[in-house]
Amino acid sequence: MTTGAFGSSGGAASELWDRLQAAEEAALQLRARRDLLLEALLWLCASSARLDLAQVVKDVVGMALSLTGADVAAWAPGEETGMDLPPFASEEKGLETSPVVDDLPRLADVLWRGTTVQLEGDVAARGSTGISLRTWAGVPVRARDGGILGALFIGGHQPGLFGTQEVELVQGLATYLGAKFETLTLFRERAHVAGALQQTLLPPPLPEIPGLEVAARYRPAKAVARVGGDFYDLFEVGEATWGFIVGDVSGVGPEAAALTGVARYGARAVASADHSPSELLQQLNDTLVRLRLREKFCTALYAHVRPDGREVKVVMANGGHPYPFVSRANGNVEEVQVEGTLLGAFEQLSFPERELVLGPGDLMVCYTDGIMEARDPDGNFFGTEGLERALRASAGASAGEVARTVERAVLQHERGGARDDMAVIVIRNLDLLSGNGQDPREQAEGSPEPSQPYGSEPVFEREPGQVQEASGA
Amino acid sequence: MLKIETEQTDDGFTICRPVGELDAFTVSQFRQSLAELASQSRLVIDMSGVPFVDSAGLGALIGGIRRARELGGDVVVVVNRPGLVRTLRTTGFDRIVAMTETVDAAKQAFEKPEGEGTTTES
Repeated sequence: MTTGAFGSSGGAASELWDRLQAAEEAALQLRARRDLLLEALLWLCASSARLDLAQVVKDVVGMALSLTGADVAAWAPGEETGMDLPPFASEEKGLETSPVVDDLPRLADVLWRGTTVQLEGDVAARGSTGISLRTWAGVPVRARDGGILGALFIGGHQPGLFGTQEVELVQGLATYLGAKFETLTLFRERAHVAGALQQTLLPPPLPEIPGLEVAARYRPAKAVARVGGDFYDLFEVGEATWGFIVGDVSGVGPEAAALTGVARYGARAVASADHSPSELLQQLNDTLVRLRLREKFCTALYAHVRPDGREVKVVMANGGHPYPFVSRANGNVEEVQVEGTLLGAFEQLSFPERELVLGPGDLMVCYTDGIMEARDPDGNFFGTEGLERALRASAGASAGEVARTVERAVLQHERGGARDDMAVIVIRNLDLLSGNGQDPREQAEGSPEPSQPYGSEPVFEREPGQVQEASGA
Repeated sequence: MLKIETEQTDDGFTICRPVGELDAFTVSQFRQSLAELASQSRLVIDMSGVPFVDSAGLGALIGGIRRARELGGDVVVVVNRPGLVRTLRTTGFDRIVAMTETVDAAKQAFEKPEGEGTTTES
C-alpha cells in the first residue's frame, strides 16, 4: 500500500525513492570500503611483525590487489639497490597461482625516473588469462634516503579503472614496503653481527696440559640478545707456564660483548711469562679505563699456573673477581682471598699477588657471579655457601666431576628459573710423578677429555652418568 | 621496590640512602639521585638498607663516586649487611673509597686529615 501510494504520487515521490536507493547503495559501498580498510589494517598489523621479506612482498601485492580493485598487482625490484631484495612477484585476481606478466614495457619509467606512472589504452602486458591489461599504474618504492628500491604496479582489464584514490593507496603501500625493506635489512645485519661476535666470545676449547686436569662448565644467558658477560681462557705463556683468566663484564648486549672481547683477547695479547699477573691486570685496567666506560666495568682473575715436580704453583692477581676456592685432596675446602679492585673504573690501581700451591690431587675452582647470584624461587642466593657445600660433596673427585657437581647444585637451587650466564672452571693437580703406576686418565675417572670444548650448548644436558659409563667400559 | 631518601644534615653532610635491592630494574632511580647529588662536597652513600647489589648497581655506584670526585667532592660509603660488605670487598671497593659501618663513622671518616685521599694504595 505504501509503495502504491508512492508510485502513484508521481515525480517527487519517485525522485525521493531514487535518492533513497542511491543513498542506500552509497551506504553499502561505504560499508564495504570500511570493511576492506579494516581488513587492510589488520593485514598491515600482522605483516609488520613479519621478518621474511618475500612474505612481506606477497602481503603487500595482495593488499594492493584487493584495496584498489585491480586485476593484477606486482612487485618488481630495482637494479643495483645494494640490498638483497625479493624477486619479481605478482598476483592476479581470481587465480590461485601467481601469473607471469610478460613484460612491463614503458612501465620501467617508474624505476628509471622514480616517478609515479599511469598508462591507459596500451596493451602494456598480459595476464596469464590472456586478457589484455588496458590500464596501469606504477609507483616507486623508495629507501629513506630517496634511492629507488623497486616498484609496485597495479593493472586492470577495463580502461580508467584507477583514480587518484587507488594510486594514493598504492603509494601508501610503497612507502610501507620501502620502510619495511630497510628495517628488515638492518635487522638481518644486526643479527648477523651479533651472531658472529658471539662466536668469537664463546669459551675456547681447553688445551691439554701435562700434569693438569682442567674442566669447565659454561652456560650462556638464556636470550641471544644477552650476548656478553662471562669469559675464561687458558693458554701457554712460556715454557711450562700457563696463563689463565676468568672474568665477567657488567651488563649485557653489544657493548658488553665488545668489552668481553677487549678483556679476553687483551689479556692474551699482553700475557707472557715475563709479565707478572699483577702487571697484566694493571695493563688491562689502563686499557679499559682509556675506553671511558662510564658505568661499565669488568672483573677478572688472572693466574700463572706452573706444574713443578709433584706440585702445581699458582700465582694470581685479582681485579675484583669472586675469590677462587681450593679443594684439597684431604677434603679441606678453603676460599682463597685475593684482594684487588674491579677493572675499567678507576685509574692507577695495584694488584697484590698471591701464591698458591696445589699438592697432588688438590684443585682450584674459579667461577663467575652467575653461580653466587643464582636464586631459588623464594629469592635466596646460592652464594659461596652453596658453592662450598657442593665442593665438600665432591671432595676427591676429578675436575670434570667437581665442575658438574657445582653446576648441578646451582641448577637444582634455581629449579628451572635460570637467567644469568655462569661459568665454573676447575684446575686439578694430576700428580703425574706419584709413581703409583696409575694412568692419570684413569685416576681422573669419570672426567671427559680435558680438551673437550663445552661451547655454547646448554651444559646441563650432558649426563655425567653416561660419561662415567663410557670411561669405565 | 627501591626507595631513596636524601638528607642534608645540619653539620654539612649530604646523605643518600637507598632502601631495597639495587639491580638492573631499580638502578636508574639510584643513578639519577646520585647524579643530582654529584656537586655535594661531602656525600655519604648509606647502603645499610640495601640487601643486594648486582653489577648494574655497582656500575651506578662507580658512576656516582667518580662524578662526585670529578666535581671536587668526597664520598664515603656506609655498609654493614654481610652480603653487601662481601660484595664490595671482593670487588675491591674498599680499596678505592672509604667504607664505614655507620653514618656517624662515615662523618668521622671525612674529618680525617687524609680524608679526601680515600685510596689505600700501598
